[in-house]
Amino acid sequence: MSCFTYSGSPPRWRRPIFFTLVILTALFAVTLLASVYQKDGLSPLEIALLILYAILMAWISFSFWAAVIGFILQIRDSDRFAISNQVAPLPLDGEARVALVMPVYNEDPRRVFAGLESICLDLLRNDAQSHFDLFILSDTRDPELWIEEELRWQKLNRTLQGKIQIFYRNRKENSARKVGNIKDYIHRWGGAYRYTLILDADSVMRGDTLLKMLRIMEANPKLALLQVPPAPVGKESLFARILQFASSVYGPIFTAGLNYWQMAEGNYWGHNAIFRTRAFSETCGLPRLPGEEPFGGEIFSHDFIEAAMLRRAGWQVWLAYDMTGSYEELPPTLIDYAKRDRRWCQGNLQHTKLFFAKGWHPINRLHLGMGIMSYLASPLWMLFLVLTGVDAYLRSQQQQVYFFGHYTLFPTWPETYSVEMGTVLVVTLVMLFLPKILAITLLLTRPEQLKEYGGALRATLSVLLETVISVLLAPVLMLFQSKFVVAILLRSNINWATQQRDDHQTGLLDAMAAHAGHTLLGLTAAWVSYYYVNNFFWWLIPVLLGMVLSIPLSMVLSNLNLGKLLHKYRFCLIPEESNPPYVLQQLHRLMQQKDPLHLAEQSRFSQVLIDPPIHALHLSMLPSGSNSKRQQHHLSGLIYQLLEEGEESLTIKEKRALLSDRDALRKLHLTTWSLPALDGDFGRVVV
Amino acid sequence: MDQTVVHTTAPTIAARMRVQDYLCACGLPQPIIDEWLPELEQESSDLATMLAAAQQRLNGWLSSTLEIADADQQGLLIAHAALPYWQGDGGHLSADARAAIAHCCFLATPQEHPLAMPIQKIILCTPGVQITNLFTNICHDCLPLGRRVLNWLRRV
Repeated sequence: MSCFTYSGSPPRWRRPIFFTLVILTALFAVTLLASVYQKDGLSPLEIALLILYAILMAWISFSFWAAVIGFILQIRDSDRFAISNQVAPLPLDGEARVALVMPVYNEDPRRVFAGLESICLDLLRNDAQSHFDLFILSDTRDPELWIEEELRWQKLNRTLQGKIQIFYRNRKENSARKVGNIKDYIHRWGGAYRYTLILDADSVMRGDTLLKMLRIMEANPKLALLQVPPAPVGKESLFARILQFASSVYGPIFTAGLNYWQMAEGNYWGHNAIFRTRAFSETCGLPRLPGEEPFGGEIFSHDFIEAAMLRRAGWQVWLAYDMTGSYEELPPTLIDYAKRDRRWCQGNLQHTKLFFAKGWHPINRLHLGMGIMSYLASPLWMLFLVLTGVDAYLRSQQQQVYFFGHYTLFPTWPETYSVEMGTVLVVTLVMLFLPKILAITLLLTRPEQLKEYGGALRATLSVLLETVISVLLAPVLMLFQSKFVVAILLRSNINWATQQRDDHQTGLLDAMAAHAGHTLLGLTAAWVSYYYVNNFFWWLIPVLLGMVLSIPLSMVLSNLNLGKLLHKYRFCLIPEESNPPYVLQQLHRLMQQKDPLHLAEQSRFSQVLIDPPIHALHLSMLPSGSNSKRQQHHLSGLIYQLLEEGEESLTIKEKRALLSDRDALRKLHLTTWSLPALDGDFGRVVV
Repeated sequence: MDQTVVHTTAPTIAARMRVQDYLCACGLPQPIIDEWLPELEQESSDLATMLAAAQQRLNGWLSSTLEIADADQQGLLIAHAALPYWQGDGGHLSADARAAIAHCCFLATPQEHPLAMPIQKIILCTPGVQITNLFTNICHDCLPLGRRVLNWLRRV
């Protein structure tokens, strides 16, 4: 095993090489376009186009060079500066304890606990359980889901027979969302754990990966946070399968390229990452930003800022780009993907306020800028397309004059710029598509790995399919993101609803509601460009096609049968499907088998009131505390309401209030057992 | 809340059956239920009182069987919650069950070990604030259509 001694500053040549390549490429492309424009002198419109093109080219040349360098690193199959090279020897210090922390908010409890059980089983299989405790940090507001979480927590404990400590708590108030949830954990139990590993509700991680992360942390005392890139898995819709495949094939070269220049100034992606609890607690207490949401208030995309704060305090943050065994799930449909994008967009645009804050390392500032740019790029591309159309229209209106002056026999032929324009187009296309070619080339050089992708032919055809779909989707996502950016700039805040993670298909009405505007815009743009700038229309077809077809495209991509068909014929296959690791096998088994928790037909709320063991379980999990007189009166009123008007008359908040109070629950429990028909009498009791 | 008295005093037989159902739902072994019921009936014929007495008796039984201190309400609740799953043969809890609860493996949260997380200072610099304000003000305040577009976006 090769080891390196990292002194805290990256190799001097890496960043200059990378950023010089990026800048030179962008300059080259812009110079090409400028050479076309400047022959007649630059008009204001052309200057605007050049500026836009320069920004966009810098943006895509950034990911282009990350992919190229990542490809070189991957094909050499060695990187002296990969953090994963440095691991502590076994056995580890007994004090090196990790809290696996999963914050949840109104998620599907069955999926959450199946994921956790899979992780625990893999930890047991790797004999690593002694270093890990598990915390389910519930911010769930829905009383039904809350009680189900408690029941599943109890079931999981019974299944594992206490071999791994699994803890659960539901927060009374979900202030500051996920940030507040984790902060509450640190405040209460953080001191007991040297490390904390954050999982998302759909995260799954292999036991050996968790152990290796711990060993890396132990070996690097300056390392505060280690991020392992999560691979998307487990979804069956056509949309998700294509994205899973793209991420699996293209992801490794991009992350390797990313690590090439970011080194110890890495980023935090919010989950599937381990941090040194004390370092995090001392440096990452996030303040509220001045002003109102969406730009002020709580910091939404806290992860980038936390990474920057750790670096500001002198800690290292690394991306273990070459580690596997870290998984997450993708939104199953295009519409769900856009909804997630809406939240991320708001979080990233909020960083405009933080971009110039004092004390950030320049690389962290760059991370913030990249996050902002990943959403601003869409309206900029849109603006670029519109202005290009206007420019083409103005050019088409110019009359060609062949003879200047009087009585001349020699015409002045119009200059053609087709070679320059062709080069600009080729350069742009190469930068967009070469990374895909590099990724599949890399795969083709690894026969063993290739088999897991269904073989050379299927993998290549899958890349082609993915390319076609991504070309069609690009303008739709551009419109979605442009709309989000405008909405946020107009200070429209969003409702932080739970993600719909399970597989489902998009119906016609939903597709129309989401994409009718895109279709209309596509048809209008097609009509305008066809009649007014005919030449431009033909160039615009790839963009227009995605917009015009967005409704059927969205529906087809959400189709589960098509996704399963692809799976059956081994297209868009990923190694996690052809050769699933133990942890994913367990997850699949747990989700496919009959639910071992026999949930009663009655509501969970009723179960807490009636079923004595569930009542006791819930009471045992409530924090102690007393209510004010006023709150007690309020709860009395709710008890009367329940008895007189039934369960349906209570709002979610009111049910939560009753479920959060021990005395009220005890009284209701006994009262309910005194009723002739138990909860069947709710709403019929005359008090 | 004391006035939440429901007028459902059942006849004795019905009350006895209800208490039997209750103890059964608690997961208490049947021989113990059979032993307790006549005693509970003797104490009261009122359903609510019988239920309260049954609960008390159950708690007492759990604390003596599992050696849980009377003051340890949390421990009692945990034992109560797990009772249906820990039934041994012959109406007694198995040794395993007792061992399991002794180790408190079903404790929802561990002992607290606090760690402070002080709020950090982030000094915002004017360029960021100015750029953000510029964008938002142009879009929101200055454009005549700003608010209309915003409303439309909210609707869509």
